[in-house]
Amino acid sequence: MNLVTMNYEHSGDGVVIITIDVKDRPMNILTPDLHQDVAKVAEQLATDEKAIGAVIQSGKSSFVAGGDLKRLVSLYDLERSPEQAYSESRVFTEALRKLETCGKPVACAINGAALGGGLELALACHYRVVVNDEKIPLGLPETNVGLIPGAGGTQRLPRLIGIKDATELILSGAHISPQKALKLGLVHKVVNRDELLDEAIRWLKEEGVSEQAWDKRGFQIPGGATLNNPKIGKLWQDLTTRVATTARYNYPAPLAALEAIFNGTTVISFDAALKIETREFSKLTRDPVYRNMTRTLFLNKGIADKHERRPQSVEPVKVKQATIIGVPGEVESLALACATADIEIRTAGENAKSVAQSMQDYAAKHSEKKIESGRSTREKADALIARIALDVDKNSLAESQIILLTGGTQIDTLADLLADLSSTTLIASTTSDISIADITRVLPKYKNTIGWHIKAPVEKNTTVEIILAEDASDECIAMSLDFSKQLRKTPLIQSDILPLFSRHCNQAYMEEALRMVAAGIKPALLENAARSTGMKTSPLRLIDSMSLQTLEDQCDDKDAKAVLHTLHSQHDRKGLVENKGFYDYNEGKTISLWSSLNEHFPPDSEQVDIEVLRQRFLSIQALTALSYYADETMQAADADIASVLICGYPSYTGGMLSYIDTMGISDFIKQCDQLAVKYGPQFTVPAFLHELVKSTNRIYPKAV
Amino acid sequence: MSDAYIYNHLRTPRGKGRPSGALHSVSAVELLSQTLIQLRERTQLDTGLVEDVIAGCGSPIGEQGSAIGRSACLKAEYALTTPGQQIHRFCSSGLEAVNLAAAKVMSKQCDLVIGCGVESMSRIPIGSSGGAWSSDPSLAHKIHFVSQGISADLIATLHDFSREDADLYALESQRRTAHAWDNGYFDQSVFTVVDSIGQPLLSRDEHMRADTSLEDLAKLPAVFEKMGADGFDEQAISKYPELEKINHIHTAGNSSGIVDGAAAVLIGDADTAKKLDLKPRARIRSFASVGTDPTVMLTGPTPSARKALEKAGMQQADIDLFELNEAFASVVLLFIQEMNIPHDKINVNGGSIAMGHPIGATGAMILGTVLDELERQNLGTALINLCVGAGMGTATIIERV
Repeated sequence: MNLVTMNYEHSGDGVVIITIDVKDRPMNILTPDLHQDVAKVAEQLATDEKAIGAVIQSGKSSFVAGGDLKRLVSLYDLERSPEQAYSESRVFTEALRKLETCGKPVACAINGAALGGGLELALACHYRVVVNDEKIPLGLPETNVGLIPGAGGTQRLPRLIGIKDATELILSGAHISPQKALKLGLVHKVVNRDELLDEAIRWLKEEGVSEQAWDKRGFQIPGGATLNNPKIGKLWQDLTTRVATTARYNYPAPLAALEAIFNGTTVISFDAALKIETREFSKLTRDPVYRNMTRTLFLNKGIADKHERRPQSVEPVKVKQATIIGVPGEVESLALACATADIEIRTAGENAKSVAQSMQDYAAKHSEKKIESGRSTREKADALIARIALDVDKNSLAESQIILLTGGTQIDTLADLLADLSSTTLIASTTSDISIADITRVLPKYKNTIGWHIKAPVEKNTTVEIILAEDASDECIAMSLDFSKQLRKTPLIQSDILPLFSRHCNQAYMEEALRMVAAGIKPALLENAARSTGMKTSPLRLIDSMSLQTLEDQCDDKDAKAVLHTLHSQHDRKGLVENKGFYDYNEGKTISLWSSLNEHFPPDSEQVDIEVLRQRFLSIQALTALSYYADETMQAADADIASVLICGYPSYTGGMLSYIDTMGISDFIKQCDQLAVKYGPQFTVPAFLHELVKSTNRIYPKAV
Repeated sequence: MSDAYIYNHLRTPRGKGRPSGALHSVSAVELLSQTLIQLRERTQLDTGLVEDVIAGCGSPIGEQGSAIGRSACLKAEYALTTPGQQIHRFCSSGLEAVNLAAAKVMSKQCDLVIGCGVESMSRIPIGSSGGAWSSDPSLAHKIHFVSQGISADLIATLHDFSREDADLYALESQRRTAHAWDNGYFDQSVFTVVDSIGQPLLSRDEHMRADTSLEDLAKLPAVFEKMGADGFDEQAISKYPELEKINHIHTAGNSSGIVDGAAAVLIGDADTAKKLDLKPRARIRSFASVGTDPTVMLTGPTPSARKALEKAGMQQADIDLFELNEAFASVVLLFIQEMNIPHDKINVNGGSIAMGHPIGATGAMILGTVLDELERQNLGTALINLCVGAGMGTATIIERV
C-alpha cells in the first residue's frame, strides 16, 4: 500500500495506528492525496486479518485544519461541468463512507484543530476522543468561504446532534471547544493530552463497534426530522427566514446548507443523503461567490498579512515608544491599541495633559470591562494603563520611534514641536486632514512620513490603509508594516494619491444615493436596494453618521450638494450627532426616516427598478476602485480587501474589482454605458478598461 | 352542459378552537358526520343517489386525514355505494368542494353531489400539516414566505389601512353578527351538535363578542409584531422594497377567530331535484380560482371575483350581495376599495371576525349564509369568495331560482 499523507502501522493486539502527516505543510490539510489515502487505508483495514480496528491520529500539533484554500480557489477557473464537479466532489465523501463501513471499528484521536474536512473525517469515525484543551477549535466553517461541508458533514452532524444544533454550527461556521463538543454530543470523550491514544485504544478493545447509528434499522434523528413533525416544520421556517434575511439572496451557501440538511434528513438511506449533499456542494464550487470570498478574505488577506512587499534588507523593527498628538476624542482608541501591543505611549503639543488623561481613562474603562468578563486580570490592566504616561516630557519625543498625528492636530505647530526629531523617526498621519505633503511643507527635512489610516475604534478594526510617498525609503516601508503587524492589523498599501481609497469609495456611494434622492427615488426604496446588495451600511444611514455640512463641502455633484444643503441648513438636520438627519434618532437609536422627506424631495410617480438601483450602488464604487487600480496606486488584491473590510462592500463580490471581474469586463462596460446614458457621466467607463478588454480581458489572472 | 343547483345546505355552530371550546370533545369526522346526517334527515335524502361527497379540509392529517369525506359517509351510515374524497386549497377548501361538486354536475358526470368541509382547529392546530411552501427551504426562500398575519399587515401597510380602520370594521362585523343571530337569520341552517350520548353541546356560535367596543378592540396587542420582528417583516420588505417598515394593525379582535365547525351543501341537476321532490334554491352561475403573489398572499379576492364575473358573463352591478371571508380586516377593506363596493352590500350578517373561520368548512358555510340572506331580502345574486394561502383566491357566483 503506497500512502503519501499517512502511515499505517500495527501496534500490537491487532490495533492499527493510522497517523496523518501531510508532507511539506505546517498543518495537515486536505489534499487530493489525503483523499486517496483515506480510501486506501479503509480498503486495507477491511481486509487486514490481523487488525481488530484502527485509531486515526495526527502527526502534527493540529489534527486536520481543513481544505487547501489555494486549490479550492483554482477549482472555479477549471470551468468544470456539473457532472465533473459532482464526481470530483464525491471522491472524499466516498472514501469516508468506505472507512465508516469497512466493518472494523475506527476511533479518532483529536489532538488539535479539527476543522472543515478535518472534522468531517472525524465524524466518519465510530468514536471521537479529544484532548481537553479549550484552545482546540472544532467546527465546520465552510459557509464563511462560500461553501458547505462536502464530505458528509451536513448529514452526519444532524444525525449525531439533531437538526437544530447541527444547522446552527454549520450556518454560523463557529469554532467550538472540546467541552462544548462533548456537551453537544459531537465527540464521545474529552481526556488529558497524555491519555489520548490510550483512550482511543481502550475503546477499540473494550467497546469497539463498527456500525454507525444511522446505518442501523429504524434509526431516528435526535429531536426529530421531516415536516410530519410540526416543531420541525417551524424550525425550517425559522431557519429559512433567517438565511433569507441575513444572506439576502446574495450568498448561495447558507441556503445550500439548509437544502442539503432538509432534504438529506428526510431520506432514510444514508447513501442517498450523501448524494444530496454532494449535489449542493458541487453546485457551489461552480459559483463565483466561494471563489471571490476565499480569494479576497483568506488567500489575499493572508498574503497581505505576510507583508510580501516588505523590503527584506531591513531588520525587523519593534516599536517600544510612540508619541500621539491630537485632541481628546481622536486619540483614545489608537492609544489603547498601541498600549495593548506593548508600546509606551507619550504625548506632546498644546493640550498634551488632557490628551494623556483622556487616553488613560479610555484604557482604564476598556480594561475594567475586560476584567469583568474575565478576559483580563487586574495585573495586566494596571501594566497596560501604566504604559500611557500622564506626565508630559519634552524629551520623550526624541525617544519615540513613531509620531502619530490624529484629528485636530494643528499642522502649523508641528514645525516647532518636531524640530529636533531624529531622522529615523516615523511620522504617521492617521487623519485625512493631514497629508504627507502637508507634513513635508512644515517639516521639509523629514522623509519618513506616511499615512496610516484606520477607522476607530482602532482596537476593534483589523485593517489599516497605509499611504506611502513615491520615494518612500525601504526603512520607512518596513517600519510602517512592522508597526501594523505589532498592532495585528492587515496593512493595505496605497501610493500617495489622495483621497484615501476607502473614503473615496464611500463618498461615491453616498453621492449616488443623494443623486437618487434628488431625482425623486423614494428614500426607503434606495435604502432597501442598498441593503439588498449586502452593503454593510445603507447610504442614508452612512451619511447621517457623518456631518451633513462637511459632506456637502466634499461633494462634487451639485444635486447631491443641494439635498444635503436643504437638510442641514433649511431644516437643521445635521446628522446622527444631533439625532436628526435623513432619519430621526432617539439617543442614537434609529426610529424611522424623517416623515417630511417626501415633502421636500417629492417621489417620482415612476420609481426606478430596484435591480437598477443595486447596479448603480455596486458599479459606482467599483468604478472608483478601478481608478486606483488603473494608475497603479493600489494592487487589485489590496483594493478588494479594503472594499470588503473597510468600505463595507459585500463580501460575496470579493471586493469592487472582483465584482467587475466576475461580471466580465465587457458586461461591466455595457452596464456602465447604460447607466451613464440614464443617470449621468459618473458612470463613464475609463479608457483603461476598454484597453483591458483588448488585452487580458480580466483583472485577476486565471488561477489555473 | 347541465345546470348545477343548490338544493339545501346547513352547518354546525362554530365552537371556540381551544381545549375549552364546546366542540373540542367532538372529533372532526363526527362533526362532519353529524352534518351529513342532518342533511339526510332534512332533505329525506336517499343517500344511494349521492354520487360523491367532496370534503374540504385545511389540515388533512391525523384524524382529519385520509379522505375524511369517505370516513364521514361511513360514520353517518350513508349508502356504501357513496364515495367520498378530500380536497385542500387552504382557506377556500370548503368553497372549492362546492365548486367541484357543481363541476361534476355541470359536466353531467354526476347527478347529485355533496360539497362540504370540516375543521377541528382545537384538535388539529392550524399549520399541523406542514407543507413545502412554508417549510421547505428551497421553496419558502424562493417565494419569500411569511405567515398570513404578516401578509395581512403588509396589505394594510401598502394600502394605508390604519389600526382604527380595521377595528371599526371588526366592530361592525360583531354588530351585524349579533343582529343576525338575535333576529333568527341563522336559525334555519344551523343545527345543534350533540355528544355521543345525545346531549346537546352547542347550538350557537361561541366565538362572538357582541358587547365589544372600539376601546376594547384598541387595547388588544398587535399579534404579528413579534413574528415580524423575528424576520418576516424583513422578508416582506425585501419583496416590497418601497416600504420602510410593516405597520402591524391586526389583532385577535380584527382577524378571524380560531374555531371548530363543519358545513355541507347538497348540489344536483334539475331532473334529480324533481325526482327527489326537492326545490332547487339557487343555481351556481360560475366559479374561479386564481393565483397571486404568495408573499402578500391574500390579494386573491379581487381577481377571483372578476374572473368569476367574466365566466358568468355578468357585470359587478349584477351582484346583489357580496360575501368575502373575513380572514383579516385588511383583506375585506382592500376588496371593498378595489371593487368599490358599498359596505352595506358585503358581509351583511357579519363574518369570521365575529364567528370564526374553521378553515376547511368556511367556504361552504358562507355560501349558505348568503343564500339564506338573498332569500330573506328577496334578492337574486351573490358572489362568495375567500383569500387563500400561498397566494390564491376562490370565488363562486350563485343566483336564486
